[in-house]
Amino acid sequence: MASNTPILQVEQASRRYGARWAVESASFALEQGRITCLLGPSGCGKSSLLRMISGLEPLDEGRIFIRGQMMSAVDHVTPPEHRGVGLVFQDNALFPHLDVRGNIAFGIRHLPKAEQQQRIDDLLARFHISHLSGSWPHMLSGGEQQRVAIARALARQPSLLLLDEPFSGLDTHLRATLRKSLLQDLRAAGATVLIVTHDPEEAMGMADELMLMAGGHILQHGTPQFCYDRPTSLAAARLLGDMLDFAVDVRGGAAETLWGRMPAPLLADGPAHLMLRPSMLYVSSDASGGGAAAQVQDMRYLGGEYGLRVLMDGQLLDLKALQPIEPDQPVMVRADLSHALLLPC
Amino acid sequence: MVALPLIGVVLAALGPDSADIAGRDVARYAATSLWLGLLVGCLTAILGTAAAWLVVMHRFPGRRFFSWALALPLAAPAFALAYGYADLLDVAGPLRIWLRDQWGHDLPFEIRTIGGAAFILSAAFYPYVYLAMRAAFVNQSVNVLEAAQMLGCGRRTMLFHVALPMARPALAAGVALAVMECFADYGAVQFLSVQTLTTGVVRAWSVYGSTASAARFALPLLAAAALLFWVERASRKGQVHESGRARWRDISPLPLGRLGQVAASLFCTLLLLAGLVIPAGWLLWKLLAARPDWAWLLASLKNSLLLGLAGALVTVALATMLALGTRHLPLAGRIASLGYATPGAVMAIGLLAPAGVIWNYMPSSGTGIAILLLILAYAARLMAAALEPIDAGLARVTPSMRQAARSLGRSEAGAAWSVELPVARGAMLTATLIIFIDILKELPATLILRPFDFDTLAVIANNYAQDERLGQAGAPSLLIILLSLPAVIWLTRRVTLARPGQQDDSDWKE
Repeated sequence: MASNTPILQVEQASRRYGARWAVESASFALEQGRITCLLGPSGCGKSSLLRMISGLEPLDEGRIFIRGQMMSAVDHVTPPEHRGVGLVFQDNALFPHLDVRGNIAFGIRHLPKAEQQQRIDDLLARFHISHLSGSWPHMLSGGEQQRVAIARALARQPSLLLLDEPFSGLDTHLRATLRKSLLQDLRAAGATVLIVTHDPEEAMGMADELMLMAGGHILQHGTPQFCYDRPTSLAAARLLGDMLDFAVDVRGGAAETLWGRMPAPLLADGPAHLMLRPSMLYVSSDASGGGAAAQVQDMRYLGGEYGLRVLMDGQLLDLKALQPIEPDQPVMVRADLSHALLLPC
Repeated sequence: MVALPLIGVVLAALGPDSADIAGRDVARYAATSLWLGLLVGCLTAILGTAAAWLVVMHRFPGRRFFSWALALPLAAPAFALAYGYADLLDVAGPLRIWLRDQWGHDLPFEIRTIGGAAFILSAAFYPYVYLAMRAAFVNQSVNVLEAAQMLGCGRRTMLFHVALPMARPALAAGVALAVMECFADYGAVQFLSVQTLTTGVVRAWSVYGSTASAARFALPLLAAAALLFWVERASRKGQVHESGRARWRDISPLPLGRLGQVAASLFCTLLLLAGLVIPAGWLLWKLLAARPDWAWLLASLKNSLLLGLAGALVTVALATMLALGTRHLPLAGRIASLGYATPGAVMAIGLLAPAGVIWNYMPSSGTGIAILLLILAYAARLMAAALEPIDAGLARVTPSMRQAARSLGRSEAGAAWSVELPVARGAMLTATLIIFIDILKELPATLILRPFDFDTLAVIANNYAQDERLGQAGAPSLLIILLSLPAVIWLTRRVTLARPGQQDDSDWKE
């Protein structure tokens, strides 16, 4: 197998439910050993896409290749059991009638006994669950169940591991720790992984590569930093966090903003969007430094910082400040335009 | 295949009649059935609900024991109760003679009447209501009860204004089951000379040899069965919202006053005595004086076991296939379940027509075909009873488990084999036991369809009872109880000692 063949290649894949397109001409490729997060709000089609890749769902258009072999097309679906894809379900779907060892062995019963045992022992050790090998699924915590489900999927040595909302059932404070250790273990296993999630923090924290999806379309595909700093649309930008949107006018290669002119060499004259992350705006009660005049309407302590509701230019903004500013005071809002984005309307 | 007998009945009823039974007679039999059904429905509703409310909500001596033991009368066929009571309370029986001698009074009632039959059938069938209501009360959310308490409800208001209205679907379902069984009963009412539609069916066939008039008796039964079945199903639909995802806490039973404790224990004891201990005990007592025909008993015991096992295995196998298949064809399960409401006698009459065709073509097929037909009748009649636990067992397999099995290398059939069947193993065992017990107790269909000289325990009990040899009838009746009692104990303990929240609570401990 040539090393530059992508593990997974999706070409113009589409899926329709009735008149509605759940997924519309999605195209992308995943490289060996990379961890990719597919991020989107619920109902955006990301789970459908996952099920199409795993062979649980047919395609209405397009094709899917795994290791260069065609697995799905309009009139053909290689059944899930013959795809070499591992899928970990949101609810883990452990088999209640089998213990941990039995669950992991489920997919590799065709192998010689000794090899089965070897693989199971390796996986149990890799995911730090050796002490649970004889336990039953209902005795395990959520995090432990998830490790068993991942080990079970990896036992078949799939070319690709798919995880559906892996941390959605877990406590918030547990998530961060679990995520970190799971990430390490997945990297050590050298697996190519596609994770579906609706949580931007989770996606940013895990992904080598990020895919942003909304309304059945893949909006953007790139490294987390690229997607965060250089979103291709307001929708893509907002998937990764708050994005403030100001209407501006472009004239003669520059935009007129509240904070002065900003060069816009690629935009034609006319209305445009100026997009700023809230962290690029600074609120100060000191009027001497310039900026846009505004008024604080409400303040709340958030632990280490203050949340401000600010009325600026007829628009209500939720901003943060390190120092308290009492409501009803006039303030100045300054902006760092070096990472601001201008997009045409 | 399961619907075959139902179609058979309708076709047979349309055929030419040879027995010449007047429509008026059918109406008279129907009126008796209706009246009996009404009485049994009311009695079982009151007894079953009261027992369930006591056991679930109150603390009194023997509460844990009664919570499962109250279901034990399910082990006894109704005809065994009828034999026991009829003999015990016979006008010329020892009890009444003794009473007359001691007090110069006689008991002011007669057992061989509709009232007597209603009492016996209620004693036999109240567990259906009890189990349904118990499950409903146990499943009710503690929060709702506590809210009612906070709003100033006393215990009685709570029962009548909160618990009962919430449990109405369960009550309807339980009573529908009891009334169905009451309509289907042949052995007890026949022995008590109460002429219901079911005795009409069997008599038209056995005395007049007319399938057509038997089918005419069967038609109103079938209609009533369909109605009851609809009631049972419709009431179950409403229950779904109750079993939401709420966390369950144990309902803490309320302590009773001293008098209340005695009354509660007494009530439960009386129910158990009436439903099982007194009639079975009396039969046992009579048996000591009798000289049973052991060879015949043994032969029919073997036949009963054979039919019970074969019938249970075939029914459960069919039900499992149906349960796995109904995901694609939901209507099939609905139709198959209709058989449960259909009395065995009706089922048998329905099968006689297709059987006649087979016998015409293969006159020598005899015993084998007859047994096969009998098993088919059992399967058709009891399919729903097997389908229900198996469906519930299979419901534990989530779609994602099925898909996980697929992605781990199993085909669709392989996933069913290696995941769904093992997970539903316990449910299949439960279903097998339920069917086994029901077949042991079954009388009318066996009576009509059995091959010549092929007797089961129920059949010889009926034969002895027809000849008024109750001492002898006791032996096979008691054998049936003896055989089904362990299974019933195991089943009811399993059902009643489990609480819905139990497993969930232990699920997520760290």
